[in-house]
Amino acid sequence: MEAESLLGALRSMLEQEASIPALRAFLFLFGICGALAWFRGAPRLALSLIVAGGFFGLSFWFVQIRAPFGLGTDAELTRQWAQAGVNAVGKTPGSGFVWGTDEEPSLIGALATAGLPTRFVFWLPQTSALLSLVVLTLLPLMLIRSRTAAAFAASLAAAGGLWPGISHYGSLLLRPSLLVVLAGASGAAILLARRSRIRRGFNRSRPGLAAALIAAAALLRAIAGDAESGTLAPLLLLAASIALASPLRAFLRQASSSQAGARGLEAFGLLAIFTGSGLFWFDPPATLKGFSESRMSGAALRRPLQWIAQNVPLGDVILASAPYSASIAAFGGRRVLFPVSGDESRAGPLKEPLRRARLLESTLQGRPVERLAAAFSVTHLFLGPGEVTPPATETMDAVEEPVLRLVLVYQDVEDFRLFRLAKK
Amino acid sequence: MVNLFGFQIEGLDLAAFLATMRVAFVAVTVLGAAIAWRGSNAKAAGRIILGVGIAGHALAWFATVFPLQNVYGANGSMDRENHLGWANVVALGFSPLRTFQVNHLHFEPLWPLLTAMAAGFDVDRVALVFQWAPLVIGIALLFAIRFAWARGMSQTPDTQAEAAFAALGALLLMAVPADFAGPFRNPWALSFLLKPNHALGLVLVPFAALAMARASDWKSRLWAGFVLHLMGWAFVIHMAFFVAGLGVFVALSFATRRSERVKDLIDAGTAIGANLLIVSPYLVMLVVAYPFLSGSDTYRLSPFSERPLEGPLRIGALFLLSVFGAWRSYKGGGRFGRILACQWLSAQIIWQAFPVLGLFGQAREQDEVFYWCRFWTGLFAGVGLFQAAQSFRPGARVLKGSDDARLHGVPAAITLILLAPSLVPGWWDPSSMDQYFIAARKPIPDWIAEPTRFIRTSTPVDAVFASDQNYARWIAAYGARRVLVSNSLNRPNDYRRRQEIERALLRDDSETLVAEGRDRYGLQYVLATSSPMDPALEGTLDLLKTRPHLEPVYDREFAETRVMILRIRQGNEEK
Repeated sequence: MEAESLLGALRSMLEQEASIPALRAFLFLFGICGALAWFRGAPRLALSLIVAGGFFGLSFWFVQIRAPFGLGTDAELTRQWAQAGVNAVGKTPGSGFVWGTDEEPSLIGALATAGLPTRFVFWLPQTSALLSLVVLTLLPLMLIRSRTAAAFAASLAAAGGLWPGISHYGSLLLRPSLLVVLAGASGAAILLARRSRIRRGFNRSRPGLAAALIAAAALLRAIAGDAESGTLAPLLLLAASIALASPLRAFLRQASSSQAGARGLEAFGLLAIFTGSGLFWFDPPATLKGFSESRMSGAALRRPLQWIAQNVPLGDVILASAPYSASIAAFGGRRVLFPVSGDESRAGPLKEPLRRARLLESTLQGRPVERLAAAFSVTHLFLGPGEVTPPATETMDAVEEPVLRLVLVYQDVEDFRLFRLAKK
Repeated sequence: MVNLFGFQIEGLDLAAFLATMRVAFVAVTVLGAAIAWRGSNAKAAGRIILGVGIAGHALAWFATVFPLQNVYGANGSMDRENHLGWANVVALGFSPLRTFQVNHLHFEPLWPLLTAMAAGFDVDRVALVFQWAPLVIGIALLFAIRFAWARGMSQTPDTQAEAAFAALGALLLMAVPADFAGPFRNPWALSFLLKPNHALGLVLVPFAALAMARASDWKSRLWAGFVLHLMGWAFVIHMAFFVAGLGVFVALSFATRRSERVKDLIDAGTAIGANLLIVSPYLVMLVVAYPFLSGSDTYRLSPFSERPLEGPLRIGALFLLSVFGAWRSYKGGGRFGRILACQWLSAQIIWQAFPVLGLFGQAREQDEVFYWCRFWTGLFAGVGLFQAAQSFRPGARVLKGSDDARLHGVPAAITLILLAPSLVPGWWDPSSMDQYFIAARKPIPDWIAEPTRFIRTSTPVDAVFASDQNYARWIAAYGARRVLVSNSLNRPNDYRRRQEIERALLRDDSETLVAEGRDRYGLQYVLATSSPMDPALEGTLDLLKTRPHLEPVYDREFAETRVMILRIRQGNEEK
């Protein structure tokens, strides 16, 4: 509990605008220390300092994320969080979080199915982004034989690469599963690099390969557009940076008359690259869609959802309006009858839309049709603030087929309500 | 929805259109690199790079302005609306020495005069001139830098290619992708699209540097001063920066004990002196019309702000390359190279002075200094990378001095490829990076568009409006009429008197003041709105109708606000 409140206090401090210059000052300090270490002939220390700076910079922002990143703001992630919530309960394997749909495969959903606690699963985007920094640092260390050259290339990669203002961290938050692709590609590169023929071939065609990577990155970036740089383009540029690290060092050595001078140029280069990188100037509230929303805890909504998680039978389906669908599935772990707002087309044609609509309509009129409720396994109706409470069934006219009644089982000061569909 | 080119843009798939423009640029760059690689001499390489620059600027410009139904910056930028207002009143035949605040001395008179001339003094063409000016000025900058570099630098076989890379860098390396989230946003868009008048100052920079480099006798020194003064008319801040750069040039000349240091001092001193002499009427206008010497809280800056890092470091490796390029130019580029390199250094020094200036509330025009820094950083980054690629080319030393393609075409191709991800047109996505683009995509709100249309079509061209000061700039920008006071411009010296007249018109408490408004300022109309006005309206809009000196000619209730235009009766006119 104490850790929670400490984290809360830290978040409210970091969320203030004034803390950003302090972050940049700290990052600059890491950069300066890293450059100094390089100049003094301690490349591993320099690398460690730059990586530490990267971790510090990313953590500054990631710790501010309270809700699962992208929930309610990114359609794909919203579906994945909802699916993860349902998978974590484990009652309906293979089933989508919307009743009657199939599960969409995703890394997030798979981890939840594997039994990883949801609070860790919810941290996956942040973890992926942080791990990508580790992968990118390790890759040159495994690929390049010379220790200093490897440390230089790794420092370049950790510092954000040669091209300023471009980084993959924001995009990796949105598509965390790409970490698997990155790790896989890195593993393949390391395996290939063990073959001396391939290594020789790489050294011969290094400029051509780097040019191809850069051109491909420029093209991908041009196609994607958007404020964030995308994932693949920045990663290709980082690969090009790693490939060009040795020629760059050679150039700097050539430009300098002494060893110390060359080290000084390298150190200055690392500092300039680090301080111009997309990581240094990472500003997700301004550039990343959904970041500001993810800073909000949504505590008011969590309370009824926690109640659902604890009190509603596992296989039951909740009837709720579309804006609440994802949250109910993600935090309450129960399936819903309707997909997330505005995401109907992506989820494919919904089976039996008319019957679903009829159940909703009859329920909102206070007389849920029993046959339909049973067919869809719907046992509860969830209503949020501003949504009208259905009239009591006693006041309604007689109907042709058996209907259920609504029993209020949960209500709070925020006006979240949960009704059980009970037999008359 | 029709854009200013006359095309329907309602069904335009914006994302696909912007992506097509970016992809086209990347394709042009890669194609240019491929042609250069296949064997170009220095001249051909220079032409290819220049072609990439022209295509890039044109594509980025087209991508930004084609989807707009208004002039870029309209409906969102106060500066742009002021500029439109200035140009409109000059196009109507009024003096370029006055702003759209009647009888108010101008502090940037050249731009409205040029735009009015380009529009053929036809107010309906002013928007079109504003639309095309960024393209023309960007391309003019490319040619200006190339021209001056090719003539001012020590002549080597590389000069043409270097000149082209300097031009390309100055134009298209001004910004990096993450800039849009920073306080000064995208320097390319802000300099060329929003404020082409400031970019015009940049066009004159290479000529001023060339004239300065060639100054050797009194005639050429005076000529340098004359060119420098032209910069002042275009954008006085650039002139001031350039003069500061010349100061650094002389100081370094003395610090490094160069043999020509006294000559440098005399040449720079004479040019600056001549410039100040010629430009002094304008400087007087500036001091009178734009009281910039008193500090203000608006221009205070925390000493712990990230400003010092922002200027040089936000551009990362390009800054490093610009250091290299500036150093090489200083060492081997002759006098012209030294002057340009000193401009780069001076820009960085001025930027680093901001935290100190901020303590006194004098951290003014930070955005302009930022763009000035970026201009020089981009210019030298382009050259620096080419020089680095050239010297690193295997066998470069053997080939040095020859015109072998391996020495020019191949490094040019490598440089183009390395720069491709950083060049503005390859990543520019105005729909997510530019608030002015988004604003200009939307129609001007009806409560601005309709009354100003009425003003434009139904009031005499010499009509002067007293109005809600918040609304005044729209009267000038979209209605093309002058106003008594606008809070979007700096205050005229007789601001208090104007305010008294404005209040008198709204209150009906002084016939003398109303008469003064009519006679001294030519006031003919009053515009009032139901929104909170500046100055505040006492009573209701309907009460205004009962004033004996006012006659309503336009009154419309919009969803947002009610707008009323009233004609001021002449003294002898009966109600």
